[in-house]
Amino acid sequence: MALSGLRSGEAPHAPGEAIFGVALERCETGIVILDAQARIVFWNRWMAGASGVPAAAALGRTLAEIFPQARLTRIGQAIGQALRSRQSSVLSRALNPSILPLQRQGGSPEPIEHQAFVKALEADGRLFCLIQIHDVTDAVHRERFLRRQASDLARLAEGLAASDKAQRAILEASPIGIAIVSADGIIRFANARLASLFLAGEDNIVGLPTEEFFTHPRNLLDSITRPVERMEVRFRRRDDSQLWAQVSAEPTEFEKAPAHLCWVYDISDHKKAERDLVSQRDRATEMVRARTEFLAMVSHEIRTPLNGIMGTLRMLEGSTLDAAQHSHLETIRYSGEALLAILNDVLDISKLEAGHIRLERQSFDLRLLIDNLVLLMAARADEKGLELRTEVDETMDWQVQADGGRIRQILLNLIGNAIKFTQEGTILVRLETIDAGETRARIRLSVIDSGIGIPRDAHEHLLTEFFQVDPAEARRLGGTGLGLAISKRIVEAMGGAIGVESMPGFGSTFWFTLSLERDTRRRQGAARPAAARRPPPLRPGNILLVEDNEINQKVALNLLHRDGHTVTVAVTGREAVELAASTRFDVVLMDIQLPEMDGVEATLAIRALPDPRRASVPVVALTANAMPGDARHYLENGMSDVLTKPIDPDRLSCAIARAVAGEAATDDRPGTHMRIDATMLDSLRGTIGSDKVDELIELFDTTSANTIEEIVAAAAMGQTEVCAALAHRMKGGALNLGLTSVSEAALKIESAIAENCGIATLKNLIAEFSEAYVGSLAMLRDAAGEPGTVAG
Amino acid sequence: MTSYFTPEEGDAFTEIFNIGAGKAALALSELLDAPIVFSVPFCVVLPLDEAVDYFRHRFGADICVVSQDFTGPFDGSALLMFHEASSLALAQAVLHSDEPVQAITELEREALTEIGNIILNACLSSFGDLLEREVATSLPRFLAGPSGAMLRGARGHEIVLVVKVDFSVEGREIEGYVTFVLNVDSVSTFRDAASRLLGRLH
Repeated sequence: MALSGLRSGEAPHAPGEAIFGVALERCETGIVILDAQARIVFWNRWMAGASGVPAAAALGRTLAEIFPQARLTRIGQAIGQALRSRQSSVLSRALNPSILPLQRQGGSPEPIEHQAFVKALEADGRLFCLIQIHDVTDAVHRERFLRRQASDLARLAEGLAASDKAQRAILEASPIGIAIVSADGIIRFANARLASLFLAGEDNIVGLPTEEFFTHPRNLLDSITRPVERMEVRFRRRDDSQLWAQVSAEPTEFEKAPAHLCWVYDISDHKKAERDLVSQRDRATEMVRARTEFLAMVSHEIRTPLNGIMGTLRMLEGSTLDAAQHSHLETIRYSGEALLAILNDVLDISKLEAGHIRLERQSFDLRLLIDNLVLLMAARADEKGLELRTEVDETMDWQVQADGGRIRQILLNLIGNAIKFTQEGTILVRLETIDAGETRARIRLSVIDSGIGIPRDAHEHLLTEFFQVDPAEARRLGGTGLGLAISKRIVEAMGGAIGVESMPGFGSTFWFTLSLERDTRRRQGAARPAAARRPPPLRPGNILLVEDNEINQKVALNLLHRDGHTVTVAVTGREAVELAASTRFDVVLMDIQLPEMDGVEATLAIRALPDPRRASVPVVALTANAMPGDARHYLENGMSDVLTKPIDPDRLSCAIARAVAGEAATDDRPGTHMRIDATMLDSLRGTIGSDKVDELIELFDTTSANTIEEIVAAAAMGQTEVCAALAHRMKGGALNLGLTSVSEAALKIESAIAENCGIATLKNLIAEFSEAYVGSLAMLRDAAGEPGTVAG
Repeated sequence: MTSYFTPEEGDAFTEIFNIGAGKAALALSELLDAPIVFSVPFCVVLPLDEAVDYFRHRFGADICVVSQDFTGPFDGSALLMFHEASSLALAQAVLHSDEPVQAITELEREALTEIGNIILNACLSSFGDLLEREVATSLPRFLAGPSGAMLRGARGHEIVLVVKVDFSVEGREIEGYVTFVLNVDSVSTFRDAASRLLGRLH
């Protein structure tokens, strides 16, 4: 390419070459050509425009001459390298803010961003330097804009990352486990808490199937179609321990697929507390049940000897006695009955506590029941010079269906208390209707006295067990303090309410309300519970007595003979069935616990006899089993009536009369337990004085508490002989104070050891013994103040 | 330093490159208005295949290259080679950027090209000066890709003179390599340059 001799703006010598010159002149790139001395030999139109220097002014001068103000070091070096050693250079706008001072011409001058290429050029044996200037202004602007955008984006991203970090920190610090679980049950996101809840130590829970943590092989989330709130779920942790958690979940989206957002809150501690409470409750319930059973057992144990005592007493009454002997006999009988009453209370309250109360349903006239009761209690009121009267809503038909025995028991208790705590005036028993419908009536029964009254702050305690307003006064008047508590439980069991209104000095009103079913069928002539006390005239009958215990046999025989009955005795159930099959009896008196075949089985066998007259003989159960279900059980198994031991002659006569008359059983009043022998205490009191007796009781308590501990310790160490010796000592002390059940329990220990019983048996006996001791002593203290206790 | 050159000649090359690097450093410091120091700890001559292996192990991934062809007493290609991360660090240093440079864009490419151009020109001219001959260079190209392809694609194609160049720019230490891909005929000229330097020293 021959460039020599070219002049800017001049036509080339040859048309073929001319076009190149025009092209260089007009191209949109700056073209500068320097000669070997760096003088400008070509300066195209673009350069003229960008520099403001026309070609005419540029030619023949150096760049430094054209731009005296500019710093041209870099391009100078490049030109030097090109001309001196033919090296090529690139000059970038990146490192060179301005290579040449060039400006875009127009409205407002604007610097031209440019880059330069500098290289040597040889033509016609002469050396030149070619400088190309590229305008990159638009590209630079575009790039600056893009860079600004990128930088904004980066800042935005950084901001997002920071806020994401903050959110993440909140998630991580949360005490609630948070997870996102996809529809296939895989954990897609989890915070640290979730991992620590489920994994116990490991940290990567993401990616695991939730199934691993369910106690049942199912996916809880399968069933979630709506948000779940605080569902309690039991999970299995990685270490197989249990996790109770409250789970909330709601559908969400994760990575554009359906998922669940779950919150998991650890409630294991709450659950444990809950379980502890339940097990505590169960233990408490179990203890109550055990106590009730224990009482039933003691009842059985006490009833047998008491049966003997009371029966023999009845026999003695019929014999010739002098006045003093008769008086002693009265005391014994009175004490025995009092003892029975106390045992009734104790057994009652324990049954009620254990929730074993069973309400009977009989049809009776409530008004008649009250009248009879008042008649019965009038004698005691009379003794104190009190007036006992009734006030009954006459407009009502009082034939109702309810547990008359229980209502009678409550009234008896309330009237008894009223008599006890009233010195003068009147006791009024009031029966009112609150409202009466066709089939039911709500009624209120009140016992209003003019007695000592009760301080207000004592009212709420009055209906709890063993509470007595003034223990000293109560000792003087006697009573266990159980009566009102029993009444309260019974009333509540019947769906009613009980309460007291009283002011010291102005008497008390004890009331209870009941909703009773009205018996609209027919009125009956008399209410049996009250009338049952008086034996009707009896025709002598032919009686089969089934009883294996000789003493009981003898007592019963005497009572029956006294009434003129003919008696055949059987000692086993089987014998009884054989006799009943062969002989016609008016009544069978059947003990329950019999050898070979028990009373219930024997009765069923009798009922199955082929001869209908033989099979339908009335069978009256004689039982020391006083538990509430027992009587029902016997009646359901073909027995006609149930009598509890010790046998009350009047009740026996009534039962026989009823049986002969073909009446249904009504008397299933359970018996009671007896722990202490009040007569012993009384005679002791007579001999050494009441104060000394109290002292003795305290002394006995102190020393015995130690003795019991020693017995337990000795048993634990297997020192059975020591155990026996201690029990023997205890037995003597207990007998002296009339603690029959304690001395019996001690005797049992002694004999058991003598018979080489096992340690397990011994432990049971010791437990029995301690129980008897604690119970008896509580009663002893109650009874210590007054001879002859009567149920409160 | 294989059989092409004696250890003494190798030392001479190292020295020659140090002279060139010194020139380049001066030029760059002026341009960037910041001190730039180059050092050439060693150089080594390898047949092409060995050089390809060497850089494959050295860089692994893609590299950035500023390449210039040269002609004169010897012909071939000169390549300034950087690991991509190093090239980014260098660009950041020379562009006075506050933020780390994430990718080679046009601006970085231009800056790196000019720097490579200055360095390669300086190194080649130091040979030219010794031989009292001109070593003409082409305009530089900026390339990115596997080192092997760069070397094999270079002009000359037989012997590779590898010169380790360490940069210290704005407190950053950046590692790079200047390589000359030569043909066998160029070796004697190189040796001539070395002996001239040695002769001057002795």
